[in-house]
This record gives sequence, structure tokens and C-alpha cells, in this order.
Amino acid sequence: MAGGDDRWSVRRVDEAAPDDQVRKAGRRLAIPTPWSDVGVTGSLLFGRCQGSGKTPYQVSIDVAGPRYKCSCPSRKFPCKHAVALLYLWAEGRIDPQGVAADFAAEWARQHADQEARRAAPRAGTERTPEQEQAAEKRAADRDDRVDAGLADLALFLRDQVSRGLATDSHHRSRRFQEQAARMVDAQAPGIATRLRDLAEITDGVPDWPARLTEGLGRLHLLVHAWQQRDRLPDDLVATVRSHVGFTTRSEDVLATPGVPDTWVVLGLRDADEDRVSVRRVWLRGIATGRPALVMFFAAGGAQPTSNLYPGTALEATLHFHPGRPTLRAVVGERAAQAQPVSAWTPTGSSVAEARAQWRTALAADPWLQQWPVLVAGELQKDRLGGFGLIDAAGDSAAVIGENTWPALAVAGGSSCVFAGELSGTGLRVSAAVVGDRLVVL
Amino acid sequence: MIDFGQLATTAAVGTGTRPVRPDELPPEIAAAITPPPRPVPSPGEEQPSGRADGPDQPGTADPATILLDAAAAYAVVRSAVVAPGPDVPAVRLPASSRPEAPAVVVALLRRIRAGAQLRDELQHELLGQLASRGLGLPPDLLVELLGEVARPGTARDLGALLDEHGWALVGLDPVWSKALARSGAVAHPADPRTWDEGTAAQRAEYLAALRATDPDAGRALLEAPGFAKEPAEARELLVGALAAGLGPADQDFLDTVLADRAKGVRKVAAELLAGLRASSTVARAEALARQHVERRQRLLRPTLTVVSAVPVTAQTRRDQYREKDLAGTPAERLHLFDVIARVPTDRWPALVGATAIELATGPAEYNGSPIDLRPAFADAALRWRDADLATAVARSDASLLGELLPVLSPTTRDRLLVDAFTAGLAGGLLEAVVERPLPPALAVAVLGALKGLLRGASLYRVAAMVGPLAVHADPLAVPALVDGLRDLERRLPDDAAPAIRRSVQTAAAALQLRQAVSEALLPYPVLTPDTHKEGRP
Repeated sequence: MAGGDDRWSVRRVDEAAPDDQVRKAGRRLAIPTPWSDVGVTGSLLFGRCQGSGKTPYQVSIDVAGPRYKCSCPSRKFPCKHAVALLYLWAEGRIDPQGVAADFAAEWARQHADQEARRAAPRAGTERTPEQEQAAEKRAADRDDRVDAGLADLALFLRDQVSRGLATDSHHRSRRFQEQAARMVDAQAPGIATRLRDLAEITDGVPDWPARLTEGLGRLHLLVHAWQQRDRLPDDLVATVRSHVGFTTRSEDVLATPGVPDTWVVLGLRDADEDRVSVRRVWLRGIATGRPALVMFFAAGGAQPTSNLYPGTALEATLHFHPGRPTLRAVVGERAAQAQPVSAWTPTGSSVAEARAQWRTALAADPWLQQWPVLVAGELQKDRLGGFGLIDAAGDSAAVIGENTWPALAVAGGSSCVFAGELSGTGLRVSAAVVGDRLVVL
Repeated sequence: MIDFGQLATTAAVGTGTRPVRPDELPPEIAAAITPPPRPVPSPGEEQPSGRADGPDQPGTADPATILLDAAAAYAVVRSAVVAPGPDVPAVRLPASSRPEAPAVVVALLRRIRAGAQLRDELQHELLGQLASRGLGLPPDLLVELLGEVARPGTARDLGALLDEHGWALVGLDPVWSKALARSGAVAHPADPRTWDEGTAAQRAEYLAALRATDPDAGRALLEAPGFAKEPAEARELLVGALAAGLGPADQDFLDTVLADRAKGVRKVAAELLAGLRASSTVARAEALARQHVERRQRLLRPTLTVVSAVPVTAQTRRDQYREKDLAGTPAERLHLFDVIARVPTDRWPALVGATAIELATGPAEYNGSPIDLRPAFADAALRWRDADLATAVARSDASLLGELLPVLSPTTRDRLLVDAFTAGLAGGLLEAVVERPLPPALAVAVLGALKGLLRGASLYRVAAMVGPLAVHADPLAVPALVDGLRDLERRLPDDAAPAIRRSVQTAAAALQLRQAVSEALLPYPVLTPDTHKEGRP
């Protein structure tokens, strides 16, 4: 029942809003005055919102999806009316109703019909031999373009370190940007992103020679791996292709065998990457103990929306992308709406074990940026503002990121299991398990 | 041997200038960049594609490639090393003694914080409510708010609801600690160094703090020889600080300050002396009152109070009686009013045979003409905190109500204000009144007065007041006020600016939020001082 314990938190509603504007407008509308026929039955949330016109807007939300429907003309999705209704519900100001309003019941029925039609086997979706042939040619053409582009890049990299990164350094950023543009033309967007990141490392950035040298080294390694791909194992080739910027269709991933489990959502992080906003959601299987990363994308400056919320667990089958180590996944069949996590007491690794996991993952994928871990320990803080996590054996790792203080507020004084992303710079915590309670930071 | 730092330096200057050879690299790195031997091609098989001059041919690669290979190896090795934590023991914070606020209230607080208008006011109220109920904040929200402690209001609000756990957390961050200390949220002993090293304002603050606990020690600081050498502005501030813990023991010192070379300092001293019942200043005012205020019985008419001009003398100048005002009132008349304001209100029966209330509200004559003595007695009521006199004066003259608000009892004050607003009087007090807690009847009366202002050209004035009204009104008045605000919005002229309309809508929304908070907190009673556990250091 949506009116029960699985009610969303306000933070989750915040995340569901497509942008700040809708979020703020939704908050303004989250007052009883303009609303009528409001209720919730099962996972169906509904209400009428009186706008400036005569006819109130009809808002229906299936929180299990989530799916939204509003009769307003807004192009934002979900619109401010839907977001406002979610706020009211999240704040416990909407009572469960036995029967849904007519408009909401009709919308739910239509959706159920669509789902039934979609589930029925579809004829004529198989590719013809001609289509297969054309697809293979397109793929081969792209490989050729990338070959040519990366050969050009290899020369560029050698030229940069041969003449010296400090030479003509005020034009260095422009040179890297231009090379990034060439990589876009060569259909290697992953490489282009790395070059743009390197273009940001100007002479004003502390320790710039070291950071730039490391970045160029990794890029060089990626180019080399691509050029030697015929000699590499298949899973490493898949990893290399992924870093170069080849995508794998979700349908293809979903066609691979899945891993059913109850997956706990341990954290999410949004980042703007080259005209695309990316949301990384970290999960861990309760039975399998496997980590997983599900990614969501949004273009045009919009905030990515996802239906995975930290602090919840969902019974689902995850299908993993090819590559090594297996981490990125797509959510396949899910049994029911995500539920708040309760009474989950995972065993955390020691710092040494977590470090070993990170090194193993890095050995498999040298371009890997972080690895999800569960580590048990207590938090440290020095006078200079440095944070750390120390385990029972006295081994420690730096703790970084914006959640350090909340983590300290949650766990200061007791040993906890922390979920986070481990990398060479330290552990970026996203959640803590205090007793049997999962606290999202 | 080239370590990573030297490799980066080489990359910066260029391998053209400083070439790199594999044998200069550490063996582990050199090994990593040396590829395993190639499989021997079968007869007729072509050589696999790849760089002919790459690291596949150790020793033959160009220095730039060697550097890039080494950089790749170093990059992976360096990433594999996880930075250790600081070399300090684990943080041990005491357990929290405050239960977390209920999720609904936390959700409402997040909504309040996300709103642009009335955010600070609503947040302040909600945090105060949590503090008074012994409730705390969830860790992430606590840390979020601690990030805003540079704002003194937030710091004070937080100071009131931190428990031992919270204070220990604050203690870990010097910025938070300092901000909370600066805001007065931390009860810290006054630092004696401030007296020697602080600015004039800081020293005055220190002095006031010291006076609160030890008035004599505070005064002794000013009696020291160095005081006279302080700049005039500093002397004025420091003497003003004696208002804290003011008592008869300060009289001699203040008498000497009446001769200070700076007028501002003399004025402050005279003002302080006028507040000491046993001071010579008050005694002199009483003597003047005896001379210049008298009661005259009249046949079949109320007794008349006859007052006369108080001449300007060296002594009245020394006592800082006023000699001019903006209205051009004669000095002798101003002196008379100052005398009345300085005489303790309970001394009038002994001086002239009538109470202060009788004198203030009865007929009075000055040079044969009627005179209104109520403003002078209003000043006296304020000075001597005489609530009865204040009530009588305010009832008699609504224009003095605003001045007398601080000394009126809350019940009387609210009743008088409701009457004044309902009668369409005291419109000038609205701005001050909406900034105070408003019981339901008063809140409704204020809204009625605001509607009355719509008839004039005061739309922006109304818009500026609906917000504070929504913040300070008793939640019990919410239904009536929301209806009233809707009515007010309907009455706005069609061409009213959108911002005005929005202010009214925002006020209605704020009221509903406050009502929701109030309902959500109903199960959590306000703690009495006995039950309230204070975690503050």
C-alpha cells in the first residue's frame, strides 16, 4: 500500500522532480488549498488541482513505477502538479481511499491494457539478413573510424610529451579541446571526454604536471589497448570498447542471463559529463553480496530521473554489461515496488580487504575510477580537516566527499558498516548501517 | 632512477629536452612496460598489426612512448594505493540524548528550507519548537544547518537544540565552534583578554557580561586611571555597558562621569542615574516636581493639575535635561516633561497628593492653558516599568499605545491592540505588531486592519506585512486567516502587481505549513525546565 510504510521521503520527491523550477513550483503547490478529490489506493495516488483555468487538472501517479499523468499542458515530466501531490503524500497529508477517483482508475486500466499488449509476443521484430549485414557494415565502419582517430591521437600524445607539456602551455587547453573534437568525429566519445577533462588541468591547478602525466598515461594505455584488441581476452575488449565510448544496447544486456536478488540501493551521485548528466546508482545484492552500478542519463542540462532510491530495496533481476569487472547493470524484471530497507546487517570488510577488492578490480580494468565497498570501522578526524576510517586492526583509509560530516554525525563514537566508493584518493561514503538501520547520507 | 615526480617533470619539459630510457625506470615499472614476447607467427601468417616502433620492441621505442608507457604504469600503481586516514584515534562522540524529530516534521523543515520566501522565519520557529520539546535533527540536516552557522540566527537556533552529541560534533570543527560562540549560543565565560585587546564594542560587550555576574568588578575597570584617556566614543560605549547590573553602588562613579568632557558620555551617565531611585539626580527631579507640579481643587469639577515651566539652570544642564527638540518646544517646558519622566511613579502621592494615573489622565494646565501630560507620564511608565500607569495612559490615548507596548502586560497589550485595530486606530503600529507573537484574536484583528489599508494606496505596505503576520500568528487562527487572506486577495485591484498577489498566496501557504507543523508536534509536549535536559556546555 502506498499509503503505508513505503511512502516516499521528501528527498525522494526532490529527486523525482525534473529540475529545480518544477521542484520549487511543486513545493508552492503542496498546500491543501488548490486540491480536491485527493487520495491514495494501493500504489495509485491521485488528485485534482485547481489551476488558473476553470477545470482542475487531473493528476494520477503510480508510485510503484513511478509513472505520472497530468492533464495540464506542461512539457516538464513529471509536472509541478504531480510533484506537489507527491510532496503532500510524502508528508503524510493524503489519506488512503478505498476507491480511486474515476480519472485515475481509468488511467490505471489503460496502462494495464498497454502492459498486457506489450507482454504479448511481437511478430516481425527479428532482423532480416540484409539488416544484419547493414548493421555489421556500420559496426565495421565505426571501428575503422576509431582506428584512424586513435592512431592520430597516439601521435598527438607523443608530440605533447616530446615537446613538453609546459611548452606553449597557455594554448595547451585549446589543443586538448581540439583533439577532443577530433575524437567526437572519430566516434570515440569516451576518449573525447577524457581529453576534455585533461583540458581542464591548466597551469593554475596544483600539481598539474603529475595530474596531466597520469591522465595522458591512462589515455595512452587505452589507445594501446584498442590497437592491440585482437590479442586481448573478450571481457577486456568489452571494457576497452566501453571506455572508448561504444555503448551496449539495453536490449542486448537484458538478453543475457540475469542475477535475481533483493538489491539494496546504497547511494547515488549525479555528475555532469560532457553535455550529458549522469546519475550513478550503487546497489548491492543481499543474498549474492554482489555490487552493481545502474546508470541513468539526461541531456540538455536536465537532471537524470531514476526509479532507484537510496535506502530502499527492490526484488529484481539485474543483467550485467559485458566487460570486467562486472559491475554496470540494467534492471530487468522487478517483482514489486521498492521497500524501505529494514533489519539489514551486512558484514563489512576490513580496510585491507576493501583495498584488495579495489586493487583486484583495478587490475581487471586499469581505467576504473572507483569500486563499491562495504567497510566496517570507526571514523577519524584530524585538526586539519582530514577524515579517515579505521578498522579493528588499526588499518585506515582516507574518507572523502561531501558526506564526511553527516557520516560523523551518524556514526561518531561507534563502529559501523559504511557503504561507499573506494578509489586511490579514499572512501567516498554514501550510507552507513548503524545497528540494523541503513542511514543514507 | 626516475620516480613519478621526475617523470612528470620530464613530461613538462619534454622528452626532446630530457629523454627517458627504460633502464632509468624502477624495475617494476620497466617490467610493466616491457611486453611479453610475441607468439611466433606460423609460417605464412602475417605479423599482427600494431606499432612497429612501439614498446613491443624494447629499446627501440622513442622516449615519448617510453614516458607514456611509464606514466600509464605509474598511474595504475598510484591509484592502487589507497590514501590512509589521518594518524589520529577514532572520534568518540557521546550518544545523542535527543530523539530525532518525527519524519513528518523533518519533511516539513526540508520544505521550509527549500522555499524562498519566509524561509528564515519559519525555520527559526520550527527549530525553536523542536528545541523546546527536546527533539533533535537527523544527522544530514544537522550538518546542513551547521554549514549555515555563519548566520547568527541559525547559530542561536541550533545552539538551543544541540545535545551532548551535537556539541561534541560542533567541537570538531573550529568554524562551527567559533560561529556558535560568536552568536552567543555558547555560554562561555568572558575572556579577560578582550578587555586589553578588543575593540571598543567588544570591550563593552565584555564589560556587560562581567557586570551580569560581578557588577563591582565591572565598574572597577572603569574607575581605573586609564579610563579618562579612552576616546570619547569608547567612553560612551563603556559607560553605557553599566546598564547591566546597574545599582546604587554605581551612583558615585556615574556622578563623576556627569562632569566628563564629552557630551555623549555625560548624557549616558545622566540617563543611567535617572534610573536609580536613590540617586541625587532623581532626588533633584523630585524637588523640582514639588515646586512645579501642584493640585488645585475645583468646585464641582475634577481636580486640576497645575504645572509650570522649569527654568534652565547649571544643575539641569549638568543633569542633561533637554533644551530643544525638533518641534521647537521651549526648553522650560521640555524640562518640565523630563522632571515628570524622572520621578518614580509611586512617589507622586507623597509629592503632590495624587497618583501618577490621576495626574496623567486628569485635566492639567500650563501658563493658564490646557496641557497634555500623558506623553511625559508614558515616558515615566516606561522608565519605571509601571504597567498600571502604562495601561491607563494607553487606554486614554491610543497614539501612545505603540510606545508603551514593552511595559504593558501581554493580556492588556493584546486587548488594547485588538480594540485599536478594530476601531481603525493605531494603523501605524501594524508593522511593529506583526513582528510579535499574535494570539488568534489579535491576528484576525491585524488582518482586518490590513484589509482596511487596501482602500488607500498601500498595497506594497500590505504585501510587506502579510508575511510576518503568517509567521507570527497563533496556529489556532490559521483557518480564519487563510480564509481572510483569500478574501484579501480577491479584494486586490485587478492591476495589482503580481508580486503583491504572490505575497498574499505565500502567506497563506506559510500559515498552512505552520498548522501542519503544529499538528505534527502535538504528541510531543513542551518540556518544562525540570524535564528539559540541556546538553549545552
